Amino acid sequence: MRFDDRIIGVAFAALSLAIIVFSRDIPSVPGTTFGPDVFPTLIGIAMFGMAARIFIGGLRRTEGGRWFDVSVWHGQTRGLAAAVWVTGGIIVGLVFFNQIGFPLFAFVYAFPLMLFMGARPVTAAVVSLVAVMLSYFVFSRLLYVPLPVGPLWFLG
Amino acid sequence: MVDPHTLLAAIGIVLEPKVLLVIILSAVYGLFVGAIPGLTATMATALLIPLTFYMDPVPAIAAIVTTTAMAITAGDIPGALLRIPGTPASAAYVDEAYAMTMKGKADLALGICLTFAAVGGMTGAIVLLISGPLLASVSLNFSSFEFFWLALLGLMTSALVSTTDSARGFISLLIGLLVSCVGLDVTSGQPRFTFGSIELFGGVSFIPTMIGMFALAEILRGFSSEGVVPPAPTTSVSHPFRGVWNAVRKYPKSPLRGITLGTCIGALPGAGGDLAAWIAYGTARKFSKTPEKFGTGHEEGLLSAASANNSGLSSAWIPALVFGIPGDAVTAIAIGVLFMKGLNPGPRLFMENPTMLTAVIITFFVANMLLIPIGYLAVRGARYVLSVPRSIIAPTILVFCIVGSFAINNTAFDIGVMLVAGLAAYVLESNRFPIAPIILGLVLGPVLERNFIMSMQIADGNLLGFFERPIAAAFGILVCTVALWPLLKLAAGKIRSAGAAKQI
Repeated sequence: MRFDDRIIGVAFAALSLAIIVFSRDIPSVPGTTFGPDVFPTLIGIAMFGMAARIFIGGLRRTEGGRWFDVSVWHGQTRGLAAAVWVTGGIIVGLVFFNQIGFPLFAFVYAFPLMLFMGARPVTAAVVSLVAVMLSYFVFSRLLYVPLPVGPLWFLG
Repeated sequence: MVDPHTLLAAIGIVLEPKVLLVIILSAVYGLFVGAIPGLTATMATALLIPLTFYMDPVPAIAAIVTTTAMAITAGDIPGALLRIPGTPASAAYVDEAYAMTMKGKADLALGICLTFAAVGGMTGAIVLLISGPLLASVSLNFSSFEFFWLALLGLMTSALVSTTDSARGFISLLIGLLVSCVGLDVTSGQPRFTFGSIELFGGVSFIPTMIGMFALAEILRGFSSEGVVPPAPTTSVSHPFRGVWNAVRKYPKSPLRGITLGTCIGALPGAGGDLAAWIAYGTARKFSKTPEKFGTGHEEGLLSAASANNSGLSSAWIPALVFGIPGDAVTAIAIGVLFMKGLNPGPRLFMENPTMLTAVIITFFVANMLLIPIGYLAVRGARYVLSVPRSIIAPTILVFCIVGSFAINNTAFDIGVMLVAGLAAYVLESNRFPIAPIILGLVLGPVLERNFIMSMQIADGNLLGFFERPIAAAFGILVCTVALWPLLKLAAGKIRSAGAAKQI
């Protein structure tokens, strides 16, 4: 997913201005000249300069060019769907992580993805089950990470 | 130079069964991940961090060192057989290695890569072992001014060498610095860019960010047409070391030049080993009696670049351990791990805990020695490793990404951090923004800010105060030269073209 340099320049210029504005709201410590707002403000100023350079470079290079290019995803319907599953799955998992629990979530997340990417059903089932249980036992039992188990209470 | 008692105590630590087991397991893991096309050494390291979080400092850093060395060397396997570079450093010689494979010399290409990765790595480690304590004792006298300039030098070099477009490199760096500002300010205790989120008060978690940027982004890229991997080769490599000695006898200067360049360039703060391999390959071509053979499957350039690759990797630890200024993304990750363990890398650590640091350096030798036997097995089994389907690998990695991100602070919020970092890295990399400066900015941001504010207070806001101490002045001039380098290059080019136009 590529954007034209003009868009990139404007986006980073907007970000840099936002940084400068938000930095002004950081309360400074009484009696100090160089407070916690100084460093972020300098970052904002430097970013604005670099964004301007990218924008000007974009103006020189691309006359009438496309604003963005998604050709790397053309003909990659399966890949695009997998990318949506990967990101969407994490968002859903984020919301219900404690309710579903790690083992169930990870299996429901990995198994269909393997199938979708072309793995054989039996291979996908075995590998995703082994990966989930291995990671669960390493982190939960050996490293004492309190991974939620959700409805699979017997694993706890 | 390290004193013998420290050295013996350090060897004792490394030879502990627990540490040796960690090294061997990391070696196998690094070789497996590195050999799979599309999976990088940095990704292997990032995925390992959640486990190192629960280890003592020596095995933790040993795991990172071993995984990186192995994964980078194993990255030469898909490089030589499929023309897919495992790392940016191996991209310097991937065409040469692949051309050798096309000429039926895959054994020799992989043998050279393996042998000189080990030789280069060990040479870099020797330099680190000797120069580390010396440099540390010198830098004990450094004040906030010197550390500010050194941090800035590392960051700027990384921004400049990681891409051909310096503006993009600097934007990446500034993003890293910005992210490092999030959370409670250490000196004033004021929240910055937290937007009311309590989870962000402690700052953006380093490890989920790494995992997102190096693992999730890589997997997302693999789904697009950029990630299409050619089929695994049908031929197997049987005798990787055959012909290596003859090649060295034919071109003895090439590996020497590569090792020297790799060690020197790798030791520059922010430069890392990637640049070393490119320069070594270019220099080998320049000094070659047969430069026309380069790119056609000629071993001379490969000898030089492969040697530079791992020697640069080892010497990149010099600025990281001595000054706390990482040389590349991997050392930045390791520095982050040391910080999390309450150890602040820098000259004081060399003085206060020399045994631990010497033990870390010795793990370089062990890791590079292991390269030969384990690497040999990996090369022999390359065909099988390369044929592991992506449909199995990517979802398995994702499971480890999720559990690894959660494990750091035991909160699902960090899984969200990993997702955001991964998406951001994917979009940024697709638009030619390098990722390494973001990581360096994230790790070095607090160091840079603390030393900047402290120096400003000491100098009472007078910027000339940054040049008053002799070493600080030298570093300052160096930083200004690096900063103005793109402009100087532009001016030189214009003068040259104007001169050429006059002659016509």
